[in-house]
Amino acid sequence: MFFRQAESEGSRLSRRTEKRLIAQARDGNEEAARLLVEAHKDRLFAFVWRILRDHHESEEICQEAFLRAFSSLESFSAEYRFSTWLFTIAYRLCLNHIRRRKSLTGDVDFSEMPSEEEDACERLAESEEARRLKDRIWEAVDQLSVQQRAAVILFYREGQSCEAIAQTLGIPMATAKSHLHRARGRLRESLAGVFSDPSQVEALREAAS
Amino acid sequence: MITCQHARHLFDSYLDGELSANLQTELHAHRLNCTACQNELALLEACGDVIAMDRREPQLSMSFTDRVLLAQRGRRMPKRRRWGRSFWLVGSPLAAAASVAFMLSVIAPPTRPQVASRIEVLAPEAREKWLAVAGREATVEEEQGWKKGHEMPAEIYDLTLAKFLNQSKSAVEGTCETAASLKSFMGAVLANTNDMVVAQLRSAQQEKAAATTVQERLNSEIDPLDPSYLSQPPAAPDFPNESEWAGPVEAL
Repeated sequence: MFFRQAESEGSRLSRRTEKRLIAQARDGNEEAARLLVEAHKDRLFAFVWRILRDHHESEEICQEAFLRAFSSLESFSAEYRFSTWLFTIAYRLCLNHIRRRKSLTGDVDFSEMPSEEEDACERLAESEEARRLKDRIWEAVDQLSVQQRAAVILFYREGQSCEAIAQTLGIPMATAKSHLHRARGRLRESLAGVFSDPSQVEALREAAS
Repeated sequence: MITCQHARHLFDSYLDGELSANLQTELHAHRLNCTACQNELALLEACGDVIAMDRREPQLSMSFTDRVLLAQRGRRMPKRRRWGRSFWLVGSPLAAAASVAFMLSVIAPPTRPQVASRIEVLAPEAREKWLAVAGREATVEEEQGWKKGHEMPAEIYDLTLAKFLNQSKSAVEGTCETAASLKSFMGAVLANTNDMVVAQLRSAQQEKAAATTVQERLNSEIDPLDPSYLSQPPAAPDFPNESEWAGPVEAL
């Protein structure tokens, strides 16, 4: 079974704390709003960046998502997690943004990859082979449709269940599952030729964990 | 023991964490004996591991939280846009008029008589009146007391007040004259502006008419790719008049 990274993340707020902060932010408490932003911003940004692959645009979308969430806190239902709601808003903003970008440029450009200097230290610590294989996996992820990519990232990175993914993406659960399964199928097809040697996969899993 | 085909059908449920314990056992058993399924499942698990743990995304700007809160504060403030717009709509002409008035006052300051802030000069009639009433001329001290106002006798106070009122009246009249001259100046400016706008409008209309004429001419021209053009007879060439070509032709 996969190690669900997000579940072990210490930065997550407890349900009770989250409810208290939301109530305070609803009353205009800026410090509560700050804590909510601090608790969610990095995960939200990672999600949005993996979809848009543009730093500036991703920051804009994240900011707008927080502002929209804060401006409609009155309508927020306590039965959902704040993060689910936030990711839903951000995902919809991403879809709108991609549609606008498509209408402007005719296509989506996923060619922008992180620069070599960005994480040079981290990369040096890894083996060259593991880095290359990771890049190939991300390239394959980038080839997925926006819905499939969002479903995959929410499942693995955010540790969301299929039900939560359906909630976040605003689609039926069967559709969410279908996106996830099709995404796996496409990843399997794209990467079948890359990982010809089983030892490569094992090495990669060790490097990843 | 399940087959490879059956095992592949179970991959997604297994990875979703929704496979029953019995089927999980079956799948594990098959995995141990089948290298192809083993590799395929390991590949999918590796993808999941990388997506979950490879954190090579760029970092958010340090100021992100502050920016969000600042923007949030801005959105919470009451909207003043409508007022702002009407302020600019109304305020701009007023500001223009005020600046013109200021320039005018600097270039040609209005000549207005100084208004006495208090009664300092006695009317000449006041001394005569006092002579008639008191039978003697007023002393210097008395006049100074009168100038202060509070010791002035009622008979001469009327005369002095009348003089002050006359001064004030002339001051107001001077102000009225200045205002009238400013009004006529502003009228001239507005008329001039109006003339300019009308002239520009006419010029724009003429340009538009010219452009329309050109467009009509272009529209009337035949599109070379239009097939209907081919069915039209060619236009007759221009020949010179008989008088022009019947004359002697110069050879070389």
